[in-house]
Amino acid sequence: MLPGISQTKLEHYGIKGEGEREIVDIDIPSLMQFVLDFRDDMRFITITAYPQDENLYMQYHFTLGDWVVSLRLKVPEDKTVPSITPLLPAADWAEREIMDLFDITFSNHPRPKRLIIPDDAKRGIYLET
Amino acid sequence: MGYKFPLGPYHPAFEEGEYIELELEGEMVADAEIKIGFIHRAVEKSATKRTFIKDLGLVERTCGICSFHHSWAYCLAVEKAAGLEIPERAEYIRVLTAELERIHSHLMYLGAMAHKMGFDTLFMFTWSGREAVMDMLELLSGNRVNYAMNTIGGVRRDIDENIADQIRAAMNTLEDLTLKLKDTWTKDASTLARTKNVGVVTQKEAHLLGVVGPTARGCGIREDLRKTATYSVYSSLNFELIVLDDGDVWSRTFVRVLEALESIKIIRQVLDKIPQGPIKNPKTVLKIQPNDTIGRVEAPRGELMYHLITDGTDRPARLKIRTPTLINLPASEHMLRGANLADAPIIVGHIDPCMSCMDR
Repeated sequence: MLPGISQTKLEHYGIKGEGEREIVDIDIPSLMQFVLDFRDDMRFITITAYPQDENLYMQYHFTLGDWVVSLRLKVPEDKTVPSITPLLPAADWAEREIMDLFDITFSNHPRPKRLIIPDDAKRGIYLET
Repeated sequence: MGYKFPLGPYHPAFEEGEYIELELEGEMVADAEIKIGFIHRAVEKSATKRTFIKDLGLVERTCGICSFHHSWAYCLAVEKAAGLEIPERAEYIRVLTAELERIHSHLMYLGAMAHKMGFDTLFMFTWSGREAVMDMLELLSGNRVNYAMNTIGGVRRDIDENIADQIRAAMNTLEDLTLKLKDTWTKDASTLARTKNVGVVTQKEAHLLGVVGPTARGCGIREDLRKTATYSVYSSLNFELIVLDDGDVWSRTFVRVLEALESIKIIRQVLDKIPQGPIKNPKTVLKIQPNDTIGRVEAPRGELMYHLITDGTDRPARLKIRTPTLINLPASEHMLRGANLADAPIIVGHIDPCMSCMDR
């Protein structure tokens, strides 16, 4: 049980709210709803992007106290995912970094500029083997 | 009519490379934009090319100030993935090194802040204390910057009574010095004038910006992983979680003065309580089965997270490093809006940005 969080709301996303950390699969509409539901209670940590078995995945990490939830999202073929920055300013740099390093586009990001690599460098340098 | 004012990437007010574009209206900052990446070394990518044990040397060099916390968070993630138990004596030595590092980092920050305010006497005075901590770190580990204390499954060097006594003596000197700092930061008129009511952020704004560490605790957020998501042996040590509610530069700075005093308290307890025993788990980690773990520690600047994905080989499939500065620095864009141009270096500097950490 997490303090101040409705258990039924959590279970809607398949989250138990127990233990040290949970990894839960999520789709794009549920992710957006999750951010709206819990942005005032949970703290956003970061997003990890990683390639696995020919696919790209992203894990959105949120925390409350000593508990962490990692929401695993499979990145669609067109490598475009809606941005959560308009809902949660904390995600701003995390998304821009992934745009630079993994060449994933976050649509409706308020400021989709280069962050960590120079303007003339190729995007997606972390995808190279 | 507004105009743009470029600050950096190399500027006397900055210790490391960063670029800030300020949009000014008269002397007021209307908008601010920070560009990073001047020290980008692709540490996360390089980590996937090295074995788990070689990565220790790499992650430790991500940062020159909180290097111990980097290796600690990395070790936590690897030890969790490999299912490795840590001897209790090793946990105490880790806490001891971490708290020495915290005092070192906070004193460095307080000196740098004094320098940015133009109070160079305070700067020199503060850094004399930092020298004393660095001597203790050298005594403990043999190194002043990258300590190489951690290894997967424990620590590399033990302490004896002689070292413990020298650290105890140094703590007495440091306590006197920090109490003097506390006095200056609460009473000196020019220090207060430069920092009170500057760069104010409310608790709610701070939460949505996701800030961590002293930056969050200076905004009234009650979060310190040592207390709220306790790890290692912190739960058996007695210390206070410092929170100040003003949300301005002063409160976020003063949190660190009080935290340095708490760290001294922790170090004294560690030296008294440390049990006898081995300092390392003898098991060697070569390959790790597919796993997905995180290691979180409270670094001097705030929560530091390592996210490790393993795939059964002898090297990480992915290692993600979320440094505290990476989440705190964007918040300073927010703090800069509406501030006076003369306060810009203080506002950017007071979150204690570590660019090498952040760019990785």
